Amino acid sequence: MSNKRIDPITLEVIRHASIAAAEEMKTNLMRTAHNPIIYEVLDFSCGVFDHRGNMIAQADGLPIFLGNLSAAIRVVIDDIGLENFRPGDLYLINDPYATGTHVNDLTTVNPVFDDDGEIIAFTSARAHWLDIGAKDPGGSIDSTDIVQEGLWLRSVQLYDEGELNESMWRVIQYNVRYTRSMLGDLQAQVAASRTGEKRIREIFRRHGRATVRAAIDELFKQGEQRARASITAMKDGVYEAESRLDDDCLGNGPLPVKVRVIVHGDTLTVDLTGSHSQNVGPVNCGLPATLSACRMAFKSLTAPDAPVTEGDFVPLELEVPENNMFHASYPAPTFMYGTHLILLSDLVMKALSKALPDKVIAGHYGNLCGFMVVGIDPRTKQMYIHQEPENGGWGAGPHGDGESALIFSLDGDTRNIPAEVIENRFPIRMERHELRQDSGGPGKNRGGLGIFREYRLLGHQAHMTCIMDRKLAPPWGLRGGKAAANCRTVVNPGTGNEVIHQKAMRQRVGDSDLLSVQTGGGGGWGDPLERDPEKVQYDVRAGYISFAAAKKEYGVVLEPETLELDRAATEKLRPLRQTVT
Amino acid sequence: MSERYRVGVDIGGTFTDVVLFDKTEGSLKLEKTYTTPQDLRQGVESGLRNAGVPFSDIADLAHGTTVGLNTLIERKGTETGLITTSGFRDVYEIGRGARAKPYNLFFRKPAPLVPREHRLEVKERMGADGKVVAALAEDDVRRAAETFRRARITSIAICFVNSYANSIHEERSAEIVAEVYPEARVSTSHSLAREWREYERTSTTCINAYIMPRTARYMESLSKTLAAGGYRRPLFINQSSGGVVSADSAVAKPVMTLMSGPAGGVTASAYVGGLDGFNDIISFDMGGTSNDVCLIKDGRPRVTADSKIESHPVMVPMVAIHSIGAGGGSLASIDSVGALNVGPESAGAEPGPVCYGRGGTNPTVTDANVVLGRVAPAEFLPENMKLDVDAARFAIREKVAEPLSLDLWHAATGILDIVNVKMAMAVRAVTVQRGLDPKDFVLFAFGGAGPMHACFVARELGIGKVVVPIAPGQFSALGILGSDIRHDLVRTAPAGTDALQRAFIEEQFDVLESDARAVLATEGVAETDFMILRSVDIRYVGQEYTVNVPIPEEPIDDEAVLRARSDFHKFHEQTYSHSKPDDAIELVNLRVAAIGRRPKIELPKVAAGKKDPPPSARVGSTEICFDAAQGFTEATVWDRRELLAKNQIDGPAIVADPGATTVVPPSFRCTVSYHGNLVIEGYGA
Repeated sequence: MSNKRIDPITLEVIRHASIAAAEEMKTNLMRTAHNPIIYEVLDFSCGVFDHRGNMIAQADGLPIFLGNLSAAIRVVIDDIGLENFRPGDLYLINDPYATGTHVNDLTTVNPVFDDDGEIIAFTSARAHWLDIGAKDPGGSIDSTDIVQEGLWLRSVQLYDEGELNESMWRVIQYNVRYTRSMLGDLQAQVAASRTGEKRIREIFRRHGRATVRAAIDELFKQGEQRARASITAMKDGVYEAESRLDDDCLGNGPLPVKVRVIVHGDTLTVDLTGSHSQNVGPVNCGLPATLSACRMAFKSLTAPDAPVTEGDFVPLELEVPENNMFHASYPAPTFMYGTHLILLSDLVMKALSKALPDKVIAGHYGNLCGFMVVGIDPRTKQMYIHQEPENGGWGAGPHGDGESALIFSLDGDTRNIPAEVIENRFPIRMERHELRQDSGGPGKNRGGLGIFREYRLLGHQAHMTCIMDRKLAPPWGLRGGKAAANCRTVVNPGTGNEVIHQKAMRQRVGDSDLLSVQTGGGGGWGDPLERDPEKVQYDVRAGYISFAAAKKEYGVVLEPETLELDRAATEKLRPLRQTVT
Repeated sequence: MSERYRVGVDIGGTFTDVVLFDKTEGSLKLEKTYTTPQDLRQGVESGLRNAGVPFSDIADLAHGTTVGLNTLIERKGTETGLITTSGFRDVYEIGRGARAKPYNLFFRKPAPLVPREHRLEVKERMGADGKVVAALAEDDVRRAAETFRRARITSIAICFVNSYANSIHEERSAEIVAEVYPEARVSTSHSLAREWREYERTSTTCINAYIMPRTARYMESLSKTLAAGGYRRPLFINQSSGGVVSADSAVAKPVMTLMSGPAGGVTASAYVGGLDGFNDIISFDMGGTSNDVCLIKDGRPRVTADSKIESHPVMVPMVAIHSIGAGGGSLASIDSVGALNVGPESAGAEPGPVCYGRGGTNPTVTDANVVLGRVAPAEFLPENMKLDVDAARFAIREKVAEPLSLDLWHAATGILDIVNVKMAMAVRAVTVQRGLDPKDFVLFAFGGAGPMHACFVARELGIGKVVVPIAPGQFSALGILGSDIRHDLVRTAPAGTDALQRAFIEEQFDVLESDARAVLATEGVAETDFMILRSVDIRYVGQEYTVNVPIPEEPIDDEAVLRARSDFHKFHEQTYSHSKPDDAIELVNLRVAAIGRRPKIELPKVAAGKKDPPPSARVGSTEICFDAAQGFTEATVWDRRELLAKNQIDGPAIVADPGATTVVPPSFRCTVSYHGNLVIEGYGA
């Protein structure tokens, strides 16, 4: 701690320089990574931290990484001892129980020293490895323990005072697939960490250690003040919400998720007692990822556009019993950690909807919604893999309808693959890419729509895998708004051999099959019978909702031919609909 | 003497800039008049009148326009219809599904310019290989055209899936619409961007259709006004790519002109920089609301066909400008926990900075500069403009200094420090993203506020040289004046793995090049002035990012193919720090830039002087604060118009110019180049 008073100008200069350092790490990693999962799917996170492991600035690819790098750094500090770090050292960690997500997320921890040899900071770069040596290439969606999921590293030294630990390098080299790419990504992570180190050293050299430390403390203090002020503005109370997942990818379920948010003065506690215990299948995560999901919800409700520091989350506390799907320990598998965290984050917001009625939207389609086709291209006889997370509808809110066709909350700047690119690369034709009528939850403000994405294989057979949850508990409405349609994959919809899948593993499909991915919508907000009839009429004209839904859900009667609004009939019908529901 | 002037015009939000080059005397004339938003032609006309040049004396006139951009931003375009492939009418609304602001629960994609009920589907299907999968249902197209006619929708976009590989269905549909509904204006996707990615291409086509009626009316009426005044040549319009086309071409493709004005500044940086031997340049344009930076490497501005404007994808070549909300009008404010923010909110043109006395009460970057004395004397300001220094002091004291317990000088220098750090971050972003070090570049500063801030930003980045070019206040207009004619043609090669084969490439390029030559001929370019630049976008199989590799003009032999391959690996290594020479690569796009050379303007040279500037250049001295702790120091003030080549001025100094004020801080030395550019270098600490 420093007693030096920091002037507000220097503070801003140091703030921006620190953000720039984190951003440069991100740019550097994206620029030099070998795998598209880093530079296109953005499954990574970079940051700069003080010597205690507190986040000064972070540049995330995915929003779910909000702040769980700190956990990795603190574990390495505990394991190694702060006094044992030397300039030029670099450590690796991917322990899911200690750092959150899954073993594929490998994190570097790079201590930073000033010219006097004093440890001043850490830099860290996490990236999703396309393969880390699981039983199946890429990772296993049906694993039952962590050792099946690949190489497990904890506080392992890769560089010793600048010297590469070649034994460690070989351990990695001979335990992963796509070796050259993976080692290329590791080099990119090291380079990003070193870039951050250089920038942090420049900041300390320019302003002096005492000033920078005072600035960092002030940044944390400001963040904490802001966070406490936004909690204080919420009414004290215990706010609850619950939902459930269908299963753990191995058919065990349903899996209840229970959230209690306790707002007391200027602290906010999230208690997950009552949520499902550790799963046999890989729907689990370590505590830090659970904390990240709560941070994601908190940030979305308080300061969605502001850069973050550790201070922003000081008043946020978490209670999760051990042996829980949100607090997993050895030997729990954690590969499929996504959907339960998306649901958790949405539930934290749902619970707080009573405290923050203006800021919370209804549930979104909230699902990894993964779809994959693996086959042999008949033109080239080469194996191909087409996979992508599908987007869906977002919840309506107090200010308007939900947005249609956006990626889920855990992902941010993740884009779909254009039909023209798919058709060029793979022996597949897309036959339809359209908004899914009536998939948005009815409400005074209507939920956003999910989509249809329909494929046909060209002249071959292949395997289809899809992972779509939330059938049992589809995205909810708020304030009288109704739930949305859930995600599913339908093979040959509307025909005699229609099959509906939620989770399908390596299903054989042929070129006579139409594969229809149908994603969920967002929940509605407010009573649908209060929706402006003219908006309902417009939705029918544009085809966002059907003629039938206008009457059934919204109590709005239209002339079948002209779609003119029948006001008299509508005014008569609406009170009747009210008594029915 | 007839036709002795070449003219460049740039219409900005506040001012219309006019630059005239007198071919006979080899001299430049600069004019600045107020933009007339009601009828933009008036600003252009009065600029020319003020210069005292009759229209009949103009040899050619090139123009940067914001009409298209404003139409898009203000959503004042024409009601537009879209005709697309059955099953795909929502591609335009779904977009790519990404959330650019990941924590914003209320995030919205840009609202489509064409609502769902005006997106009509027709039965047709093209394969990715360019073969017809389902024939075009011509009756569907007729019905769609009839529907639009009944709805009085006068601008129609046509975009079909895979039309980049084969455009016959789009071409035929355009013919049918023209038969059924001849009054409608039609935009086809393949004629604008023959590249894959259906959402981006649809967006590009819809923007074109949406802005076309208004931009066309403007260009046609300006052409008429000029002709009525006696101008006999074609009106040229600057495109976002940095090259001009005749208004006749621009009318059909207004989406190419969205960044017309800013592109001029980048072109000018490359050209003027080249005259003084600078080829690696960061153009640094700072105006009232934004700071636009662009990378120029080896004399060539970076151009990309993968940009967004107001979140709408635009798939046409644009100079790769990185823009942040930092300008003279950027507001300084303090948030709830006492942090000082500068920008991106701006006081705009109205009310503007406090010191302009037009009702502004919140302090801006310009107010901080004024309070610290970093401005030119009154005689250099535009007519009728007086700076109210007291009001600026009051605002900074009340809104920044007192809440933070700082003195006025610390508050004012602090505002500038913060905005300078932000701009330095922008410069760093455009360089480090490409694996380049900003220290290897010259910072080219222009725009109303650029020359005031450039030295501080350069120092922040360790950049050794700042250049404040001639005409910094009218620099875009100067660039537009000197631009070549340019048409960009592209074709995504419908080819799979490892198709970098000679016959294939040659055949495709032949088609593109004959199109390129035809279009230059219609622009009236003489064959001797043709220049065809070929390049290909290549990537490793499975990657999304491509690297653009130039291909020689001569026939493509095995050696050229080999060279393209090795250039690709080399460029990939430079940009991404690694390459995989053994991995399969694939061709994505073939590109041709068809350039019609226009005569380069020979910028007037400045007479050589001695190290010491002539006494006539010395205007006086003023008090400036560079460091709040040290207070005000005396700085010399110079009239830039009187300076001679080789003159040296040591900071602290102000070099005043009616267009912009250059601040030379202590420990910086300014030297005048033979072309009149100010080259400023730091020395000592």
